[in-house]
Amino acid sequence: MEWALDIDRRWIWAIIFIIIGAVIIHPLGLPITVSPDTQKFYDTIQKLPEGSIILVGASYDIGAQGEITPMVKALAYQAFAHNLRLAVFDAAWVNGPKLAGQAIDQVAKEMGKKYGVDWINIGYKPGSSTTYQLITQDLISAAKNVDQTGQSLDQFPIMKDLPKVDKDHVAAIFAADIGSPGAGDAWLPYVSQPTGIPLLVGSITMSVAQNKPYVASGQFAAMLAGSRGAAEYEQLVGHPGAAAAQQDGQSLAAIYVTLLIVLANVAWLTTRKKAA
Amino acid sequence: MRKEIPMILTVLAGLFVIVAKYLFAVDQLGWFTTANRMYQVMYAMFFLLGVVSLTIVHGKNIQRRRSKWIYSLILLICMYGYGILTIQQTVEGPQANWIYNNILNPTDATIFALLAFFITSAAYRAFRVRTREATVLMITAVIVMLGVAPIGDTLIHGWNNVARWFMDVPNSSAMRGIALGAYLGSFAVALRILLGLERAHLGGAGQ
Amino acid sequence: MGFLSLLAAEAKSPVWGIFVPGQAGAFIAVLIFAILVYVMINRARAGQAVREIHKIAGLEALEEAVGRATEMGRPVHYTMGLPGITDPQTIASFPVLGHVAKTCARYDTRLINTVPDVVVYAINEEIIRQAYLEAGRPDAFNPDDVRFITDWQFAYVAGVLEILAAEKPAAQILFGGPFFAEAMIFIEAGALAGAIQVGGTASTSQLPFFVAGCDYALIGEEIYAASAYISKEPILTGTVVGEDFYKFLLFAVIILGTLVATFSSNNFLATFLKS
Repeated sequence: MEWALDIDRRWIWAIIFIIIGAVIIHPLGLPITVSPDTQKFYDTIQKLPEGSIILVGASYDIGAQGEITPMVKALAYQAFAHNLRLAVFDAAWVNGPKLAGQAIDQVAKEMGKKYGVDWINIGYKPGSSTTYQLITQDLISAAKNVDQTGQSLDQFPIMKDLPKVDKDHVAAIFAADIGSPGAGDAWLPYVSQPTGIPLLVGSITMSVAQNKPYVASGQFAAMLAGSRGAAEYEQLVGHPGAAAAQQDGQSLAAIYVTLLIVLANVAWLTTRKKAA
Repeated sequence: MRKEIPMILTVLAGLFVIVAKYLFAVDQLGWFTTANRMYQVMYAMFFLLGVVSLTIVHGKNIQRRRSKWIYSLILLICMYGYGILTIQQTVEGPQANWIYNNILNPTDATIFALLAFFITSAAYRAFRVRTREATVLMITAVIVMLGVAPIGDTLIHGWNNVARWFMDVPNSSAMRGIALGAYLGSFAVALRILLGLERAHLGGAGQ
Repeated sequence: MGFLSLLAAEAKSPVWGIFVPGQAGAFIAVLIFAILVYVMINRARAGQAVREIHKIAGLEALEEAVGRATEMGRPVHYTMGLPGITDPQTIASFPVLGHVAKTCARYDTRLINTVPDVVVYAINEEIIRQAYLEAGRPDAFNPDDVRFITDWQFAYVAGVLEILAAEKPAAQILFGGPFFAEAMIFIEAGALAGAIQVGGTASTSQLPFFVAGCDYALIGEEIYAASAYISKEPILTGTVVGEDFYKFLLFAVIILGTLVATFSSNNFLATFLKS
């Protein structure tokens, strides 16, 4: 079994590449059960009164778009179907508002929603923690009165109802979380807790373990846990998309890694016994 | 004096934030908001500092024809080219958007995708039943990994619930403990800086 | 009409007090912590006994890692992940970098430090230069080995991968943070290069990768105790001991809060603890 301990890593990589590639071409369509956490996320948004504004905290980057963008898209489907309005913003991740804006724009066009009326992309504004605090006092000033495309914010009707981020103007915050700064160390202490606005979180799989305590304590009103959570949410919203498609790959990859771990341990134990 | 002045400034800024954040009378003066606005402007200035630093470092590489200087040249062309383009037509302009969507985005996503390969080979290398703790770690990892993927529930009904229990109960407890310790530790570092005991950030070996 | 609605609206009563509403508890917590640490520092200054920090295997292993690199004649690679000067993890990493640089200077081993942040880059260069000076080897310091790559996460990853493949370091130290997805890539690429790896971070989402992938790992608050541990300075150790006392106090409050919330939720103590 010594050969198993010296496998060239490139073989391991080649097989994972083939497995994931194969299920992308031929999906297995394994059933996805909806977890209580995702159901709570969906129900919280469903209960918001029509016309309310959800602030989309696009705290993510290109690397996380595979997991977060499907969440943002599904959120846009649910929000627009329920006549809710969306405002995209971030003060820590340069690319986040652009990526979230592209996803929402696509859904908005599909559902006949208008930029500046039903949704707006306030964009990325530098300053991190300090800017997060400033938006709770005066959003337009903190955003230097320009949106992502360089137009004046105060000309858009939606901004008349969104002078600042507080409980009177924002019904819920959706914050992406891919690390730091994220939902737990930026949106929660600087925006959600001081204003009392419920914080809904979309977390990448890697950060789920770190974010679970916030869900248990109720500091996060609800959380979508990684691409699995995104797939469940897409299913609830009725628009299965990229996240649902990823689940088969994740399933087969999990089996493959499990088999590798078993093989490595059997080989290691056999070699050790022989040596003893 | 080279270290004393920055240290005094650090202490003053730290005390100012504590006073402005907690004391009602100072809060009413709005100094904290003003300080935040100043920081926002300074933060934007860091970008300029970055551009200047990159220009100096890579400009020297090109000037002295150091090895791989051609990459320094490409870097400067890309940085200034994209910068000028986005200033001219904003980040949502047609050409800027094209570059972003067709070059930057796929390149970045490709490097991120390496993670899938590296995690697979790392799992093969690292998860060994060497000790009792390592065995527990390995078994838990397998249960959670299969549980969060739909295959877990397909193989054994309710597997997802078992994985969720691991995440909600043992994981959350451990994470809380670690986070509590880490936050207190970072607090202690902040206090050491305020008291002038921690000086490594001002240069030197820190001892 | 406007006048009538003004009359109908309830006038806001002015709020007065010493503390910003909702911040009194936090202020008291900060104050107690500061007092505890101050007392411990004073004890140390007065020459009274201060408890020692328990053995941290990861910090002991730093010497071993540099020693191995020296034996093999290969460099040491030091990364702080994606640091920022406002992040306490980054600040906790500075003394460790200084210690590693000093050890490298003593053993005449090359230290490569890659940085993705302009401000941290300038500080690191200064720390390493000073460490070489303190070790009596200022001539051995090579500024080109402190490399600012880029602040773009995955471009930085690509740069480090190239360095790991080309320079084949015998030791890799991943210390401080915050670390994100790049941590696992670095750890696996380091293993591919055959490097002994010492990791330490308080980035909780990356801790499992450090524990599983590195030869030695420091978890959470251990990284904040590093400067005190390395310097063996009683005053710095005092701050760590003060922190531990505060932790006991917090545990007591948590247990008290749990009991109060379990048996009664409408009393003065429960309301105070919630605030």
